[in-house]
Amino acid sequence: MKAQEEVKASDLGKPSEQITDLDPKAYLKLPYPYEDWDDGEMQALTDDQKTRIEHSLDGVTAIGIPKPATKEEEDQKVASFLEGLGKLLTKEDNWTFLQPLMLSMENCVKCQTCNDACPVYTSSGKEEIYRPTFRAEVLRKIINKYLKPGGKVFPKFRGNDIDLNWDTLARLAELSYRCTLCRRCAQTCPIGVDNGLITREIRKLFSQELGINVDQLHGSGTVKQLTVGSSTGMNPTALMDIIEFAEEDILERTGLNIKIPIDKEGADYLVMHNAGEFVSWPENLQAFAIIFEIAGVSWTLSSEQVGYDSVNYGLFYEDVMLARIALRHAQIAKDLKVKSVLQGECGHAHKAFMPIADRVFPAELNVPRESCFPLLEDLVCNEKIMIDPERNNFPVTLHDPCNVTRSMGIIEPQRRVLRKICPQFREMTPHGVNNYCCGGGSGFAIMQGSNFPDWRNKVSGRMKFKQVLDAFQDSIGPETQKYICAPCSNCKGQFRDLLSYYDAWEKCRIFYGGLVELIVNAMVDVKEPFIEWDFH
Amino acid sequence: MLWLQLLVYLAVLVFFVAVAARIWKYASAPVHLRWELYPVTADRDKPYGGSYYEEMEWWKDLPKKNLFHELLAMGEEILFLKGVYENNRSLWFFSYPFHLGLYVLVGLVGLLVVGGLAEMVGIPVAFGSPSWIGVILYCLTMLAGYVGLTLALLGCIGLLVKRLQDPALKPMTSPADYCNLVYILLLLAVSGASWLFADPTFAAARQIARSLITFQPLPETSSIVMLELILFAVFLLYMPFTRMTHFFAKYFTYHQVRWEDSPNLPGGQWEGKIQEVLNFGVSWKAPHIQTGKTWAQVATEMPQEEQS
Repeated sequence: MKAQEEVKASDLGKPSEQITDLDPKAYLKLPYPYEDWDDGEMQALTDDQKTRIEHSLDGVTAIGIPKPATKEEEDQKVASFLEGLGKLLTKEDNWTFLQPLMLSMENCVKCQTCNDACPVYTSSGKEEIYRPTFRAEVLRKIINKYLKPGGKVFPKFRGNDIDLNWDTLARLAELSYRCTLCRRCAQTCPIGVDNGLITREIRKLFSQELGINVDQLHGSGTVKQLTVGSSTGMNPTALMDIIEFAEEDILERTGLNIKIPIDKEGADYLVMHNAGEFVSWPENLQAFAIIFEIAGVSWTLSSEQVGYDSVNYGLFYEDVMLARIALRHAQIAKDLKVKSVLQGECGHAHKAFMPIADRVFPAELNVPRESCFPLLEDLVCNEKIMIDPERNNFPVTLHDPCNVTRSMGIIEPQRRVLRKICPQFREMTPHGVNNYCCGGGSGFAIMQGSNFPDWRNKVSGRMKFKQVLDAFQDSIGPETQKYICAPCSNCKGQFRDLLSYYDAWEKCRIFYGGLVELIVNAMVDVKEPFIEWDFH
Repeated sequence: MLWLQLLVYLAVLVFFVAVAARIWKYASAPVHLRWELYPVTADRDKPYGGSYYEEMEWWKDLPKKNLFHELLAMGEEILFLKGVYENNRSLWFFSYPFHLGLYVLVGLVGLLVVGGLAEMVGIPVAFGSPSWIGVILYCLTMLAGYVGLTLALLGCIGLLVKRLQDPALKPMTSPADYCNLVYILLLLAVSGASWLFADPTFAAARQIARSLITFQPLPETSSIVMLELILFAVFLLYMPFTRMTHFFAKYFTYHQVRWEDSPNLPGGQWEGKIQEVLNFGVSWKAPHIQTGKTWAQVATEMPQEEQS
């Protein structure tokens, strides 16, 4: 194995047991009380896993790509990859992102301005293969050498010094899942090159041509959502049970007898939640219901298959599944004759259904779509619900989901709410459009296979954990309960894992939850505290 | 000298055709999915990076794009390399004089052409010219030439040294990348030597410019001026085929991707374009995609692997 500063893009095609080995001593240092935190070595794969699964990039496996059985199979995969790469550069197959991809592939001057913006690269101790430019450069070299006329003439001189073989493909596929697509790198690029986009295009090529993707995103994700109704496996019958339970729980916790509207035609809002909320954080669903019912909002949920789960994991890895789910959501909204679709606290659902899918909707399915945050701001700040901020008199900080902020520009509504209802609200540094990803972006939070969660906690989420500790330094001890407001289901999943890995509930009493839970906690109409401070 | 004249014409022709072809390639690409990145500069009414999505029923009252803010942002980026200054200061100290020097040298070419035309109509371009136009042209040409050259030369040397030494840049730099910088350095150095030793007032350069734009034979000139012209022509010939095209690609990366947030509204500009691309054929071959159908068909069908 080479020293990390000696690793080059061309090494991906060279035979070796493993390209790089992460050094825990090089990881980003954490503040008090974690100065002496020992991460230990990355969880190793079992011998059986090593035999079956590709892991020769960094010893971590996100996809779990089975090793080809024969050389012929390897060659066939390489040929398919090249065919797919060609399609990535044609307007028919890739109209969805052809122009941005061409611009980013052809105009990077390799100034490396983007490097330090990347939380994965910096948290890992500047591991060479995690540079934002590294995987883009691998793809660029392959295109230049194997697809452009004369690409094999003086390849070393022209920088096309890479061999395309099974090792290259397997490592590149894995490498495309070491970036959370947060696009912080793109924000700093003076030319406008977007290495996050290139990473997503690599994932797309593997998925749409070779069928190589992460099962939690595809088979157990988008496919299950379209065929069963939700990536959680929840079908319409199970949904009705959960709703019934939620109504009973609201009554028990608050004394409020609330009927959650289902399939109400002509409502102002069809509210779409990430179904993960129903299963893991039902208090979020309940809080929305309490706020809307007390404020007299005209709203409904859908019991139609797919319509009750705003998740669209297609955003993370390919365009076909993205479009299928978005169109299904739009059709359901149209059938219900609602005035608009309101996205709940889910960042990727916001981005997938509002700006990204905006240009897959034919005229007849172009339904109005909006975010929950401006509506919540209206209800709270215009006093359509009564608030007692003293009930939230504990330190609160806000995590900005990348998809809501950097990709959509929804920055202030959620802050205005927090300033109104949380006397001890404080910002992280940096925040807003310059925030850091939670480390669970682009599907990472739900990818639980093999040793990937260990990598996610130690590396991709490390910068965010540091930000949280910094924000709460004035009251970091366990005697003060503190709240990370993370208005995004995926981000909450990541915080659950991060806080658990770093034992932050026990050591620091750091808790996490959504925005609506804080609102209900401060509502005068709700007699008992709504937040239960029960870490889960 | 005819061959040299033809080489320059060929170089100019190739340069403009290649640049136009690349621009056409970007400009004619089909509509893509939205991929904007905030802050979108036209929205400086929300300087923290806010968008129209911060409003309820945002589609009812869309803010107009603020052209002044866009131009201001472009100006800051082009004139000062603001992005590099803010995010890569150590590089900016070399990159900025290099780019600024190149801008000024492009201006020099323009001044030489204007000077040549002025002389054609009887206005001498010299410090002692009876016409104030001739005096101004002379002074501006001298200023642009020597200031531009100094800035570009210093910046180019700095960039080359930085690429050779910086551990972040070195592994990402190919021999061809070094050659590009060395070539520009050579062109600048030869130009400097040519001006200092053979054509200190740009009189010969003006004559050459005049001959080229009037299709008259090039005047007899010194070997070093000829070498300068050859190097410049070769630079024009290969430059559009390198990453140096970022000088115009930036328009597309910013205006058509990063700042392009105009929504698809009923009856709006996007409907027809979207309908067109939804009729494109799909040939992706993964099992869950029905290859051979149109996007509209594939996007409304269930994953094939689940149907079978």
